[in-house]
Amino acid sequence: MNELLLIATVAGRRCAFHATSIRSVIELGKITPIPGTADMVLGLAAMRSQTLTVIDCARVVGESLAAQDGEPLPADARAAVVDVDGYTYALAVDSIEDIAETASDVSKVLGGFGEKWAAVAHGMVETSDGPALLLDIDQLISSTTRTDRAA
Amino acid sequence: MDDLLADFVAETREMLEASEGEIIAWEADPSDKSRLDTIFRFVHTVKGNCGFFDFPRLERLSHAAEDALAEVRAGRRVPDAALVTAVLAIIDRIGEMANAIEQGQEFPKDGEDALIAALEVNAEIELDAMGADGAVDADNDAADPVTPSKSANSAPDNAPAVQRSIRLPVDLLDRVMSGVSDMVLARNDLAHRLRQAGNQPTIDGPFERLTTILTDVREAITRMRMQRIEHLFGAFPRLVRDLSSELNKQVMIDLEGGGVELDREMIEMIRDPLTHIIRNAIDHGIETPSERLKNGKREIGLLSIAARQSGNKISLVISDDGRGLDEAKIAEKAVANGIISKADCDAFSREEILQFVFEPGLSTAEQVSSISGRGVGLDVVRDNLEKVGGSIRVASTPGKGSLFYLQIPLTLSIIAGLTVEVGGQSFALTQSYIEEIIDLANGNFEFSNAGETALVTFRGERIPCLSLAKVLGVEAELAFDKQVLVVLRMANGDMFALAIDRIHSHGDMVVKPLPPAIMATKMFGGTTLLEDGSPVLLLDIPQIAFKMGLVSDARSQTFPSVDAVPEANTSTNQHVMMFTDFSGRSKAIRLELVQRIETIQSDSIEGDDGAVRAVVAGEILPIIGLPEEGDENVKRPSGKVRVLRLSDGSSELLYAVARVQDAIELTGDLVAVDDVPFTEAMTLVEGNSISIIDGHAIFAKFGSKPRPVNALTCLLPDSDWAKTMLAPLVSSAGYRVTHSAKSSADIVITLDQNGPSDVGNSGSDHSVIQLRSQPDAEIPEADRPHSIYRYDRDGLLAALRLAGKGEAA
Repeated sequence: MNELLLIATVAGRRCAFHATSIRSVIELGKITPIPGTADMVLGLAAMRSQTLTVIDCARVVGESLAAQDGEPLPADARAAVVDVDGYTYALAVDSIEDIAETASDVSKVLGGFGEKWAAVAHGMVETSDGPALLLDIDQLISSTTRTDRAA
Repeated sequence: MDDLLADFVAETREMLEASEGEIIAWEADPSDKSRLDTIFRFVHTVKGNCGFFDFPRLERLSHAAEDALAEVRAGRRVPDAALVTAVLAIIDRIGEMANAIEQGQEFPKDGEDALIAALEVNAEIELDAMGADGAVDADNDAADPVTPSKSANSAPDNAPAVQRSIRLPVDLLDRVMSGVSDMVLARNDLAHRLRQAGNQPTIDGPFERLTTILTDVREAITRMRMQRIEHLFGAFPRLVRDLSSELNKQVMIDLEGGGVELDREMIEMIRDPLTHIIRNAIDHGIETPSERLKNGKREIGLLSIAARQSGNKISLVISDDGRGLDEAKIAEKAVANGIISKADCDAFSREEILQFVFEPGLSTAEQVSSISGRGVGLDVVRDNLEKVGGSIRVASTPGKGSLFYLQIPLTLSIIAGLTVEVGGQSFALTQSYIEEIIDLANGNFEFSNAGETALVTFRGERIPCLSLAKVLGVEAELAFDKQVLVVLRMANGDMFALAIDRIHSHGDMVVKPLPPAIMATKMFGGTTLLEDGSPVLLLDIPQIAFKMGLVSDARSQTFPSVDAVPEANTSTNQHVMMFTDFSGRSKAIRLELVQRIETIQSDSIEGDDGAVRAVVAGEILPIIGLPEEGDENVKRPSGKVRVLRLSDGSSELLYAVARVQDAIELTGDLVAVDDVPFTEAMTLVEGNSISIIDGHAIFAKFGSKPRPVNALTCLLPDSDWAKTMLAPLVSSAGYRVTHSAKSSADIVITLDQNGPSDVGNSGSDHSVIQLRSQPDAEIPEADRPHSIYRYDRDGLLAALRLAGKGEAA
């Protein structure tokens, strides 16, 4: 069965989200920072009078290509809007490429994807343009609170 | 109508509707046991409620029906059609009587005995007399007298003139409420965009209308689910009284914050937990009177419950001044119950060990009493609170008392809040915490440091002062002495000050919950959108205070024991307001006399030599303390003048000061002075001698009843110029303005002599000021004194004053 995927670049890697769980893709405007939160929580943004919590996906996997410390996001930074547990999040990514169809089942790769990637990924999927890592949105969100507790 | 009564009627009607189907099913099959039970429950509940409300007739009816049904339930009587009909007739009658009660009408008595008699085992004869469908007949007989206009065969009147109520599923209400709050946010967004787009009359009108409607709807929606927590508090004094007399203790209860509104459902959810904590506090916490006296406490224990709204949470603090929790015993029990190991025990702080009281099976009571101490309870309390998303914590000082701190969420709330800025970022604060706002740049406040903690003296109390920038880990824009202090009062009465860069605005905010990643900071309680559409975080004041260790264990500072109060009165515990007068001397005046500190414009002060008066908030009051006219050393103040508004209860006067210093407590001895006028005594304050103003003497000489300025009414010409240019000027000078020639005026102003001529020339009961359109230079010199150029502000004000004086004389 072919599924629709949203293909995005996270920390320079080709990644995918289940398109059905993405509410919309927005351009991030002004972000209100939140003191005291983990690095990966960039802050709050407003979309059509709704408040979104902006999560930097690159930081979640331990890289920080999307935004260096203190440096603002590029003006055209994109984010995928998702609803998890009744809260609305914006997942900030490097760039959003396209919608693609799955060409294979989700599969594991021998040797894994690296510890941090593995924690937030379902596995690898083939698309017509090549492989992408299918990210688990729930895991991505819950990892933001996990790190908090450890810190 | 009384709330309880309305509840009773609504409940009765609802049960009636619910059991309607059951009744019909029962009629079809009188032997159906479960139907019978439902109906029995209904009449039983009605009977119980009637006893409570003192409706003897209703009670008699339901009691009779209950008796008959009880017989059936016990198997002593076989239900037959006659019985069913009789019971149905009574149930119908109950519904009608409930309607009559709601409308506040007397219900006619007829037929009641017949209805009851019909329940008797051998009542066939009466039943026959009532007809085969007795229930329906009874219906009509009863309904008619209530609403005589109705035709005889109309259904019983279910539409009373008073408020009708329906019950709705909570889910639906939730959806409507969140929809409305989203609408408010969308409106704010739209408002912002409209402002950016500039004025567009065709859009602005309807938009204004939308705003008004939305405000109304929002208010109604909010009220739909909210109930004041008073409803819950109402039952506590009785509970405390009963428990304390049962346990031979004396307990006083103090309830605060009854006005806090809470979701109706939430009130039900916290009823049991609160009751439980109160029971615990009285049973275990508060000692017996003899024990209390031995420990140097008042024999009456104090239990206080305070509610506060903070963001989308309600905090409840239940504190007692009893013996406190025994840490060692709790640790022992926790080890015995295998919650922790003995080795772990030492690693825990007292604070952490105390929290074990919420673990299952932990009771430190030596004796199990009927009230509490069975080891089931606090764990259930915690579970129940956590189920609704709340939390509970306990703090305690041995021998001093303990404090239960509950937080319960409001899924959605609209709160009054204040937006503040620190480090270039905005945050919101719940208004209900704010006690006072102090601008450090304007004031003279005393600071001190105790170790790392900064303290500020506020109303004679030293309170800790937090820098919000430090709490949040951001850089403040302003130096500390330029910042603004927001003095906050916690639910338990503790106060602290929060230093911020500046205050923005206040208004209603729709608070939305934050995702767990942000809640984990334990600093924010929610988020809301500003009018410009940018999100702001709502500071969670209790959490911040707790995080910074600013929550004391027992309610001590603001709740002095009642014994201490008479002592305080006999000691020299007098507060004075210190200020600097215009010659630079520090003086003081008793704080009780100071009603308010006001700032007035110097041109609202007029008069000379001992009879100077000033206009404050539409009233003319004598003003003293100004430097003597002609005193070359001191200049009369210009621009804004600070005045103390003094009151002796009936008359008032103003005292002009150069600078207000602070309110202090007098500690030094008072040395009476006789020879200095208006000075009561001298005293030492921090090594400087300060003279205290003799309030009695100044009121004896200057005091006057506030005289409203509107004694002087100014009639202006009925022209656009007069309305837009002249009226504001005249009214800001303290005169009342009228444009109607019919109203009586003290001063009449005319323009180019075409003013209201009928009044303007009619004689001497008012003064006339003539204005003209030509500047002085354009008219002959001889004509100038008769009229004033209409843009000659000073000339006009002088003429008004002159006219006003002539009027007063």
